Amino acid sequence: MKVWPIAAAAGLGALIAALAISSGPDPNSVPTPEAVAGRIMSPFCPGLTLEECPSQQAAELRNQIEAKVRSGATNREIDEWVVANYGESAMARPRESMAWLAPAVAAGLGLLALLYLPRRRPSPEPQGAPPEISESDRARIRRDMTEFLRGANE
Amino acid sequence: MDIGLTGRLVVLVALLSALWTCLASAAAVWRRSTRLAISSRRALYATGILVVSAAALLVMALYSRDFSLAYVAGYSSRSTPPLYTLTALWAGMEGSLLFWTLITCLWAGTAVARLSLRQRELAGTATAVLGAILAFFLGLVAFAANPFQPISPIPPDGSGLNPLLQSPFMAIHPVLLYLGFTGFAVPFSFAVAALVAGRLEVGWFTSTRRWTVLAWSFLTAGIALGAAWAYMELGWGGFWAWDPVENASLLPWLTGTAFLHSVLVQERRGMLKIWNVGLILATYCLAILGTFLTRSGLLSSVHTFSESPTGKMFLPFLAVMVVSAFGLLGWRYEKLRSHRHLESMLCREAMFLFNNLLLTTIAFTVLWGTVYPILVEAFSGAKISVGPPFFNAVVVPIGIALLGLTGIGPLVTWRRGSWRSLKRQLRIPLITGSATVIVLAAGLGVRSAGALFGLGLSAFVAAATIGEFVRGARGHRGGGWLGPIKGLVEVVSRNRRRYGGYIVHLGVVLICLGLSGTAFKQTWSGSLAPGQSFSLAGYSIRYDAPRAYSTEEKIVRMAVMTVRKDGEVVARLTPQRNLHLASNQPQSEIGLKSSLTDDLYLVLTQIDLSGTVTMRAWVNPLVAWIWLGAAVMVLGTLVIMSGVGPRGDRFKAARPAAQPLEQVSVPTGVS
Repeated sequence: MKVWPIAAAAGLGALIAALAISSGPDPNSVPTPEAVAGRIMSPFCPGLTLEECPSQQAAELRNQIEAKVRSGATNREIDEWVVANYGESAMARPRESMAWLAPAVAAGLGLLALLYLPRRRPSPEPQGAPPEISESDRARIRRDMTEFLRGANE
Repeated sequence: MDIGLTGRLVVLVALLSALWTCLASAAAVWRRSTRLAISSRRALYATGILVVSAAALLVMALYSRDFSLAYVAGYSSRSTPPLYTLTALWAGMEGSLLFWTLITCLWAGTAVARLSLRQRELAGTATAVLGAILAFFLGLVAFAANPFQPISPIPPDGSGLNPLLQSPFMAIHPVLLYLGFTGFAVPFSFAVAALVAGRLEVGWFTSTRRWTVLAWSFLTAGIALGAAWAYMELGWGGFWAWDPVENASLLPWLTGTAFLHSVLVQERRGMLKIWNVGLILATYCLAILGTFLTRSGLLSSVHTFSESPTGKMFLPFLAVMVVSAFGLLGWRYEKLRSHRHLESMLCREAMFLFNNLLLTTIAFTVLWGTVYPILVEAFSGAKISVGPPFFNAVVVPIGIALLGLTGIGPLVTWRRGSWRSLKRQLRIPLITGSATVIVLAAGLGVRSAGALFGLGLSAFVAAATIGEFVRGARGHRGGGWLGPIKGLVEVVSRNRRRYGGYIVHLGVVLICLGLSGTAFKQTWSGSLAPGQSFSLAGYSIRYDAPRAYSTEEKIVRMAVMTVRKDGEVVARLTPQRNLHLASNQPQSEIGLKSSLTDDLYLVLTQIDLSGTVTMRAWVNPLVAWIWLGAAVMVLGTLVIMSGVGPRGDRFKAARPAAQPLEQVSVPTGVS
């Protein structure tokens, strides 16, 4: 079994995981209010982030976050404040690694299957020479092919 | 006539008819009985006629404002406009299930009518599968979600249609989406039939290709219109929120797209039989999963129907579908195994495999992100969210790789590609892509790395795809200055599937162009008194005055805004904040000035008695290209469609020169 498909698959998995993780906020830096609003699910509109939520309460929460940012709160402090007030479900970026790992693993396994399986030597079904074609079959195939090609050219 | 009672009866008879379709067809296959086969087909057509009648009865009840039916009272009112009275048919759970069944009947009926002779061996089992699917949905409509349920006491007026759904987009979007979802029932049923019969050559999917391509086309248009609806109606400045229901519609689209590519490998090289059957089985199962998720109350989203036990009944159905479909696949595994293998990693087959890897990884990610919160809650009780940042972080990089492949893939030849020829063909696309990046960075001062990369890649893919047209047209060029155009028309019409596919790819490029515009969006929010103005991205926007009037169905309050650019008035917009009387719900109507370069998007969130307004404004560059791109994609599928079927097959067969004789495989040892 070759090693390079495994290496390539692991590489792809690691790349996706790395891209995913690097997209996250640095816990110790002070964010922009828009960045925070973009990664908080609005408690006031189902399925929308706080940045997008058009409700009046969302605007007030955005203002609160802006005030926190102005007072120099870091990403971690703001996230903790949001979770304390609105629960873990307010975090639009899941903080558990399982959520992030699964796609990376799936991509890696997929690539492994792609690189390894189709190149696998065929199973021993087409053993030996193909069955002989009788002369009458051969004539029939020739006739059918001629007819087919003629039909195709019409 | 008591519409409620009649409707209920019609649905019950349709259910019996669907059950007969399923049983008679299965028995016909089992006992090789032509009479039973004919009977089952007739029963399928009868089911269709009965379901159409039931839907017609419900529409009649809606138009006659028959509030003795709970459904009519729940989704329409005396002031509901005529168009939206019709769309109320699919606005609620009960009606939408009936409508879903209706469309499935249309697909099933046309497919069985067209294919029962050409695919005699498969059509029997496929009819049984379609009958079973219809019986399940009719069972739901008859017993769990009855749209003909009477209500007592009869209310004097209905509560009306949700104002958010009163939009031309919402009138068409669900129809297209359902056409897409249910259309996959046809290739699904024929794939199951192929598994049962053990006839896994290309027949099952070449015969159903019309239905698959058409379903995919409807799904594409449906998703695009859904995004347009979200953009125009929901008033949050965007068009895609990775909302569970949007995701549910994207899942079958992703696997369906993968299928449309990978069947080409089986058709050309006889490989990937298991994979192709698996993909189409997964596609329809995902379509059903989406229907289940939106109706189960498991997810909260603006799109979901009200919580009800109906959704829970999908779970056993879905389980039976998945277990039996994939069980069959496992049973036939040995028979399906391909005895061919890749000759090189640089060949068209490998390109399609990579395409499939990326598409299914995206599909898995979207599915995972959508169900992960449900799983976590089920196992630990914790409520968590998986929102847009997750999907963007994982899907965007994979999507970019897929876009790159869209450019490179078509340039690689089958079996064994050559690096030298690929390098030569990539030269112009690479130059185009780099030139785009340089012009954007140096000329227009674009600094966002992501946007530069996205736009550069889009240009690369566009150049590569257009290059294919040019190369093809050159071979057919006639004389005169019209020669190249004649050549283009000639080559496209001779090979519609291929060039239709390239047109779809160009549509994808346009969509990516539109999506990369989101990197440059700018927003403003604040309060304005009449006469005040603000500026955003070169626009100067003045709030002139408030205005209000009332109609039979709503009180309209709007802000009259004058938009100037470079001192000239370019638009007058009137974002509204309306109160719908029947439902007592407030709703915003956006003010939108759209152009190919950017959209100015105004949302009125509040308007008080003194006339002061609270507003949010967005300038969204390039959004219009997304809608254009979707239209181009649909156009491409129409070109493909015109080349599929008996006529199209002749076109394909008309170029034997393209296929060296050694590649024409004569099946040996097959009678």
